[in-house]
Amino acid sequence: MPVDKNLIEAFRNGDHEAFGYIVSQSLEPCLRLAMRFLERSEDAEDLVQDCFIRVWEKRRYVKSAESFIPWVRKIIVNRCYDFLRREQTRAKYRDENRESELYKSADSEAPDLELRLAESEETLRIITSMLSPKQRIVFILSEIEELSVKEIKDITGMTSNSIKSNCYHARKRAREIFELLDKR
Amino acid sequence: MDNYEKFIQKARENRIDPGIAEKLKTRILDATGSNAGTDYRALIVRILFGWTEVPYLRTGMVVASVTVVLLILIQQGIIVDRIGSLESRIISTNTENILKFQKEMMHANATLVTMSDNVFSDDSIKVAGEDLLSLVRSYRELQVRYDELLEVVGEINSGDQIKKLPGRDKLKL
Repeated sequence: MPVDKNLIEAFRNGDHEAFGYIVSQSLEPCLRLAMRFLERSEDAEDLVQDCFIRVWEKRRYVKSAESFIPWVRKIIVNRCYDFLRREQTRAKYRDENRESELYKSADSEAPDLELRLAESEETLRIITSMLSPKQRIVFILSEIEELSVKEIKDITGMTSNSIKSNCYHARKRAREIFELLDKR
Repeated sequence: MDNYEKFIQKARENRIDPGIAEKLKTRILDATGSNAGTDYRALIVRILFGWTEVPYLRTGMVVASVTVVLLILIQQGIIVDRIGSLESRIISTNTENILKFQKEMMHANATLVTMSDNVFSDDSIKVAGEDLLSLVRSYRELQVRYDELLEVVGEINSGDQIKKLPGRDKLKL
């Protein structure tokens, strides 16, 4: 959904009220996107806040109303990717533990896990936490946000082949994990 | 549609709590409002190091710094090499000069010993060092070219040649 042209023009001229309207319109999808990438909602909120502060500071670089949302989305995705890469080592350790926990729970009763899986958002979070940062970005943009390869390419700067390859492996892995969870 | 596809469809439709978004909006507007930006320390840090957040600038600066370091290393290598060759030249030149000087001094001593018997037998003569060396060189040249000189003198004495010598008429031969 593109932002109103007049709002963008006022925002570019430093109108803080216009910025408030823009934040109201675009915050929810941006926050949802960040929450899908990051495991902790607090991290997603902080990241989105930093991104919007940056958007305010760089308001002169906004070219048009149509390009505003893709631009913000690009900032968020790139920041999330950097965040995920920084957290990769820790996440890897955590994922290994979580994966073994999942395999164990597939054979035995685990009410806590079952309760958490009631929410598809939580299931998605478990699945994406077991993907590499690159696969996670591509999987969410492609599968959940339903963006085309070209749009993902514009946001991430990855090549088409890399996007397709990562998407294929991520989908395969996501399905495996989901089936493992679904067996219960 | 299998379970996985149903799950993906449900995940796409998920919404976040509006309360969270409203709180976050307030935080963002507070941070960007007119009261914000009075943190001069953060502003200075941003001005000084803000460029590091621009990927092209960051990469460019890394490339430039590596290039400068490489150029300095190459320059140092060239300088060290030139100093090395210069030192060897100085040594060889000096050695040559020293040897030449020593040789000349030996000749001078030998010449003086030879000449002292013939020339400086009774008188005491003070001669400057340079004059002495010049004298020794002339003497050595005379020794070397003595035979040629004798031949020339012999030809002159032989007869006809003497008539051709310039300024002969001035001489009272």
